[in-house]
Amino acid sequence: MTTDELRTACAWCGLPVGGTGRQMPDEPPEDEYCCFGCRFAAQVTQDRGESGQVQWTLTRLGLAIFFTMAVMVFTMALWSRDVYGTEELGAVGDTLTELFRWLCLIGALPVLFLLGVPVAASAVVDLTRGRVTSDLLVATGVTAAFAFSVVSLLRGTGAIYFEVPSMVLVLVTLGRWIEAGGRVSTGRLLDSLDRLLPETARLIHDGQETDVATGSLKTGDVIRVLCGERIPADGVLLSAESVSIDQQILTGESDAVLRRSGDDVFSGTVPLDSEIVVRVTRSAHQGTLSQILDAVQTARQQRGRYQRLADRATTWFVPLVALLAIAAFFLQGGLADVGSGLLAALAVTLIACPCALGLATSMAVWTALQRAAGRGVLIRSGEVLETLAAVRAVRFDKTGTLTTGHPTVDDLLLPDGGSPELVRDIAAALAGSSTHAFSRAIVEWAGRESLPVADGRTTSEFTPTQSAIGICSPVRTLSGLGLEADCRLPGSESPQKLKSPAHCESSAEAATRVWMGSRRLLASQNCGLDKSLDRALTDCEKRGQSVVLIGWDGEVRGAFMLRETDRPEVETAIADCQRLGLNVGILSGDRRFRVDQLGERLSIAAVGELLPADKLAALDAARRQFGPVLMVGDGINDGPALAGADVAASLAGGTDLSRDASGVCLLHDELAGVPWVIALSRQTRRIIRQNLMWAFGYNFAGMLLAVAGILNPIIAAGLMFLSSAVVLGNSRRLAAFPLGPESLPDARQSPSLLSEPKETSSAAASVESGDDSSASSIIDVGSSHADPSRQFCESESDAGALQTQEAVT
Amino acid sequence: MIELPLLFLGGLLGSGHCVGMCGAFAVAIGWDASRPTVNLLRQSVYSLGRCSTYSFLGAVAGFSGQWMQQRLGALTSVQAVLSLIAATVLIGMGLVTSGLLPSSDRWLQKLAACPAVGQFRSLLKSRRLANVFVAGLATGFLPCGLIYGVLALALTSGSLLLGAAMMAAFGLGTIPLMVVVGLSGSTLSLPLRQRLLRVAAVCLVGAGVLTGARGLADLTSPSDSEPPACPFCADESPAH
Repeated sequence: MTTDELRTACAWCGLPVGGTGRQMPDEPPEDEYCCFGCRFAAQVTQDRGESGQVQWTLTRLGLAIFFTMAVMVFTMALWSRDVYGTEELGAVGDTLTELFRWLCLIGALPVLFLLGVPVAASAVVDLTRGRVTSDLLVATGVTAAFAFSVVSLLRGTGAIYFEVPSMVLVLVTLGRWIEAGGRVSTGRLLDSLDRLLPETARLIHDGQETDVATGSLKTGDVIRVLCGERIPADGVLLSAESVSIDQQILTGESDAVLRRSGDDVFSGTVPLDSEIVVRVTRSAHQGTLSQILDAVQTARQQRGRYQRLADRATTWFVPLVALLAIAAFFLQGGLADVGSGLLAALAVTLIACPCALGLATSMAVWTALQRAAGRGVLIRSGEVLETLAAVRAVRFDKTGTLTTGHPTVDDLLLPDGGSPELVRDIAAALAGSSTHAFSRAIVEWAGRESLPVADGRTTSEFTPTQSAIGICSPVRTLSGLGLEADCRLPGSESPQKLKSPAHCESSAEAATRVWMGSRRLLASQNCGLDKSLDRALTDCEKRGQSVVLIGWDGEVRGAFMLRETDRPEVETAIADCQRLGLNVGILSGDRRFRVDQLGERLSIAAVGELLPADKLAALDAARRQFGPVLMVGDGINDGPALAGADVAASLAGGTDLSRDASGVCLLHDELAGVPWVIALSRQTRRIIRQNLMWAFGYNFAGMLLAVAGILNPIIAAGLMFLSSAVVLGNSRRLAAFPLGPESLPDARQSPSLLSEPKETSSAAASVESGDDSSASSIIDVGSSHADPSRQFCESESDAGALQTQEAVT
Repeated sequence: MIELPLLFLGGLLGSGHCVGMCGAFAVAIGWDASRPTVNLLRQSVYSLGRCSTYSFLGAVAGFSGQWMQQRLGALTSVQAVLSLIAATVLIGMGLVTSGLLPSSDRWLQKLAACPAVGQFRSLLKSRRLANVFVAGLATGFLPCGLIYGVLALALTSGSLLLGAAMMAAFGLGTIPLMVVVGLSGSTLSLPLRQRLLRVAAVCLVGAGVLTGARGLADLTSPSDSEPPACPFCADESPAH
């Protein structure tokens, strides 16, 4: 995005500051406010913030109201004398009238100073920033009405309108202030973004590791962060080894940076190589969270089509209103008298306040963005939101999008005479320090298998520390292959399995090196395969299942069979999309028969074995046939397709490195967000249209009345607030946009025939389309592994596991 | 003009209700005063602010009544219709105050959610007299059954001055108890408040009945009747 597309945000309500904001480059950045109301509200709060007490600003308003009440009473007294006529009282009545006229002036003067000066000052500040605001018109009108009344009073004849400027000032100030309050309350929706950071952190205290809430982390705490996991708080790296850190979420730079011990690491970034230990230097709420908030902030400052329309309108609105006001002045001044002309002109400026127009789009978009963010859907800009509303077709990627990123362990195959408990414990101990999808699956499975029901913790995760296995060295991630660690194996449990008894007998210092990962890794470490195991593995691979092997001392000790599962909400999500009238389809690079199977099961069109260029062509075809297309992918292996669609949505996945790629990010990784966000965008579009219609209509009708001299400025000032309130209220409806049927928890996992997805096909694809270098490299990384949560470290070992199969075949 | 002192009395008797509603404000204003005299000054300024608003509202009501009589007088006996409306309001408020009719305080909760209320709270805590005065002004605008009742009466007065005076008299009547509460730093005990509240309710209903009767009388005999008797006159007996 260029800076040109960005607008300054109001320091109070956060909405974009309209018009052409200009700032001298050498000028220190000052708080900008979108309107007088926000400036006033900020001032009231600021006053309070400094001393904890109400200061001058609010008192000023209160006193102005008092004086206005007085002016109103005197004016009413004058009116009631008009009603009764002055004949009854004769000369006394005239004196009384004259007295009341002077009292009106005395009452109105303080109001002009108390409230008129701030309005004028606000207008002048805006003027120096290059913005002509309606405040300027209001200030001019009020001054003119007041001056006219003073002249009438001094001349002794003619109408006086002291109540008009007084009431107008009070209503404008009060109305704008309340309006600013209504706008800022929308900001509370953002609190729900807290959920982005990991909820718990691994706090290391006296050598013990405990899970604590991320929010409770304090400066000086020491935490352990696993490879591929988001760092929960800003801190200093303590680990001895250097580690590459993905800082994409902070910098947008996709290349990882190398960090050494003592370097700063930032919350929200992800260690890629190995687990790290961090000393916290700032609490969690100052890091990533604010970054995401900034993303939402940025989003609302980008103009969509409707926003540009409203912007353009506001730009010529104020000059037009000024012209109209002058016209009304001469018209009514000519028809009636100068006083009426002045009032008509003032009424025009008040009724034509572009507040509602300015709010019409930005308020709706802002509320929708926040509502979406609260549900874990990050929308990049108002433009994206508007395009989403126009989407006619949805295309899903398969792997990691329609299927979960979490494979499950189907079975553990053992060589003849193998000990399942030992293999399970060692595998869980290794896998426990990796967040790779396969590792997670193994830990989860081990937890299921190992804990007896009586324990009451059958569903909890298996913790390796509970087992008898001691790991001597940190678990190392072997790039693209798997994991490696030195373990002290309990001799008592399976002494016959250990070929080098010296290692286990002196268990205090000696350890056995254990490898877990792809067939290639195990083969390279000279771990031989048992004959029965070999046969079983070949069968599995024919079925397309993934396999993770574990072995030590020259022998493969176990093989984990894994399979891919559908996302539980996939059917509902697709049905919901169809209910929205969208054409739904699958575009996948995976093997055709798997894609077809899934398509059949979901009863939607599915195309497999697509090269990146094919995906783009398919998207183009869909666009020609149906209209704008939304592509839903996992953010990495669909890079080009996501870029080629009208709107792209990505499932951010567990540790989500890639969420910055597309227009819509489903942070919570649930497909139900796709139809939901489309419905939200359509509702937003509807509300924007209503708002614009109201704002234009109201301004037009009001202006006619004002020019005709029918509208009293006081009523116009009241209506001005009413109009903004209508737009505000209408937009706020989006804040209550239903979050949709809560998707069921993972309890319901539909059995899937799909197993290991695409490997050779898309790997080959990326080679073939070698000209498209950057895109194909993305494809290569992403599509050559089954894991859609895509941490680099995962993808590497994952790829390794897959390469095993290739190596074998 | 004989109503005015009686309205004052009505305010005095009805201020048990005020203490229930606004006593906390009076306490908040005075609780950190260094000396009783300072507190007294603050309480007076606060009540002055309240009475200013009341008078303003009374003036607006009186003027509106006058305007309606002037504009619509030819059509029907505006005075009578206004009296009937006032009677309905008074009786309704009286019943609500006595607890015979359920009162909905949902709007109160909505009001509490309004950001302006936070500002009002900090106004109350302010040490500056101008802020105390503004807090009094704001208090005067708070919705209150008693005020509505007297405002309805002010509407029937059909005169700006009289309307303002009626409300001022009523407001002055509420001052003593509010000041006492503000000075003593404690609200009245619940039983006492309930008793006062019941008196206020009876006052309101009685005033309503009288105003209604006056309105009906006006309707049946459109000729200018005698200035109506004060609605609170009859109520002194249950009060004493």
